[in-house]
Amino acid sequence: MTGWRQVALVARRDFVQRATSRPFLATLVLVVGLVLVGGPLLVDVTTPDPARDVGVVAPVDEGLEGAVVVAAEQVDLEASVTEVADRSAGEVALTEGDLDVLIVLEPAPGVLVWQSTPDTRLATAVVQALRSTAQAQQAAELSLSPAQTTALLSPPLPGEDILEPVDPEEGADRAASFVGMLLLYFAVVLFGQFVMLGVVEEKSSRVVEVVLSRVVPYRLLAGKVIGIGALGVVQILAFAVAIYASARLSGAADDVTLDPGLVASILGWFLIGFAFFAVVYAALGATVTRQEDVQSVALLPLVVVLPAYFIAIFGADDPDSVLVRVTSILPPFSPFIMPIRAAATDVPGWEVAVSVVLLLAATYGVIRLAGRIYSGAILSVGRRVSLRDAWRGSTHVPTE
Amino acid sequence: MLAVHGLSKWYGEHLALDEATFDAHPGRIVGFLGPNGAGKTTTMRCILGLVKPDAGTVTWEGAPVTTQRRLQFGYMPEERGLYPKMRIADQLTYFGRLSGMPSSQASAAAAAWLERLGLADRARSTVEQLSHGNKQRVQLAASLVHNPRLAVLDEPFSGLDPIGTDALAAELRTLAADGTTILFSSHQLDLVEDVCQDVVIINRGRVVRTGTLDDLRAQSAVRRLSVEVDGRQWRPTRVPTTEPSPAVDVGMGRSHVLLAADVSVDDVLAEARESGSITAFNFDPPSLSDIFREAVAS
Repeated sequence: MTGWRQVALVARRDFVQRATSRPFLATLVLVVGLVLVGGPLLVDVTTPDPARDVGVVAPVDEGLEGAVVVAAEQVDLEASVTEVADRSAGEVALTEGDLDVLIVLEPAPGVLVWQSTPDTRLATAVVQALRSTAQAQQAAELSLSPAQTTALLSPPLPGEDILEPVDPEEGADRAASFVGMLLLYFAVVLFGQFVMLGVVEEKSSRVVEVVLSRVVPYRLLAGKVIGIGALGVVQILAFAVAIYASARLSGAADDVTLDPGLVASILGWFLIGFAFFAVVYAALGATVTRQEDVQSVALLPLVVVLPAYFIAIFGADDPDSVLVRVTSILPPFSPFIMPIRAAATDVPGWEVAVSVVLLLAATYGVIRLAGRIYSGAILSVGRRVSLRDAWRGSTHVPTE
Repeated sequence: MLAVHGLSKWYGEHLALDEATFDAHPGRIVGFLGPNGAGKTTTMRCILGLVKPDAGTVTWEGAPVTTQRRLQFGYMPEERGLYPKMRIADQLTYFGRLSGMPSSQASAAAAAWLERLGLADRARSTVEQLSHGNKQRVQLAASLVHNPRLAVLDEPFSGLDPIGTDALAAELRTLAADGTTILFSSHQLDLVEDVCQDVVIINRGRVVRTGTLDDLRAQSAVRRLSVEVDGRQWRPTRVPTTEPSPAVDVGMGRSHVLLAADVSVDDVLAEARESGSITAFNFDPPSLSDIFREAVAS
């Protein structure tokens, strides 16, 4: 029987036992449901309605109606013009909410009537429409030709030359990298601790000795990290897909296109980064026996995770600073910082390559280190085992 | 055959095992005895690869024990433990598969063990739903589900009621009859005397007695004397005796004293006759308890 088969069995047990537990399923259904239903609702509530009702005291000049609609479009509003009999009828409509603004043209120069606070965008559009209508009338009275009118009212404007154009996809890239970094942060803080609790549970229920009489410690460690880690990844991906679906459903992401290569690289960074921290948590979990000791140990990885998180947040605005450049290459900061830096600026290929290689090497190192600490500490009961004692007490004898 | 040779283990300044050496043969039930802290659990953990000895070897059928060969071993640790929220049939199948059984064979073995232990109708129960006695049964099944050729059981009888004890003893005899080597530790010496054929006694990390129960009895330097004169307890005064502890002295309502094995029975008999009419006279090999005390005291 190959060791990998045992690793797969351990991983499968940890995955299936947790994935089929009621608390897990309830949380998953609840959160995904909330995102799918709540997302579009939230977008609906927070997105302002562009429709505006503009009232004009009769008679309405046809040119004015068209000018209002055109001017409103320029400020992203959809205006519809209604004729009202007189000012008092218009004020009643304003009070009842049927109109947003009332245009009274007589006596000149006329007045805009609002219910309370004037809508500045609508005011701009209406004033622009009134001005252009008046100018067109003046031009007609002066008997100007259509070409003269156009030259007078719409003189040609200068064009634009942009020396460093902004990539239209850069915003989406930055947002996706940021979301990836946030997901990694939450995965490490939440699911890293799940891995640790899984190790502690096995220890506190004493079943670990029965398991270790069949499986060598580092394989049990690998299986647990893969099983519980995979469950965390599935959960995070379910949330990410739900958020994406919710954004699509609500139309909030209609203009966003994501580069599949970028998504793949964010996922890659996420997986290696999470593997690194999950192994660290498993090794730490092996050094405690009682649930009440878990908290003190669970905070240790945050010494690295929190600075990485903040450097990533501030690094997005200053991607070329020395701190960001160094930490984007240095494990275990790199999985948080490199994707953010790469989205914000051009990173030389070799720096990305070095960063990935260093992180993979560090993950391998931490697996070996953790395997030894795990095997030295896993059978201890009672007080916490110091990392030094765990290292010395390692039982693993490679006798394949 | 399991051969433990020269096993030593230090825990800091404390020598837990001091060149422990003994064998366990196929089809034999070996009682592994010793006071608390003598090194029984450490020895068992060394056999299972859970503790790395500082010196010495463990071999199985003449070759070193590898991770792969260790899958032929079954282990029941003193600290009992199973997955509390996992169904017992799933749990036994899982342990069977971890020991290398194919999936179908493992689930069949799990079902067979549950049937054998009278728990077939509880297959879908989780461990935390079981009574203490049933948990013990499942624990035993977890260590034996893969038909190990060597069963190492640390205090398997502790916490069992008399019926459970009898059932477990019967299971061990069945396993041994199938050729399984069984090494088990216990403090219930009467029970060990009933169940095992071979004995290993360990004290302060050293193996102080090893052999068949009959050999150990024969080799013992003491004999157990129990005499009634005129229906009353009687003890000799002319030969040196050992005062047995009262706790083990209540069997058959008759007290006994330990004498050196080379004492002349005729001399004792003669002295007893001088005291009156002998109504009972027993001069027996020592019990396992006697051997244990003698071994641990020396």
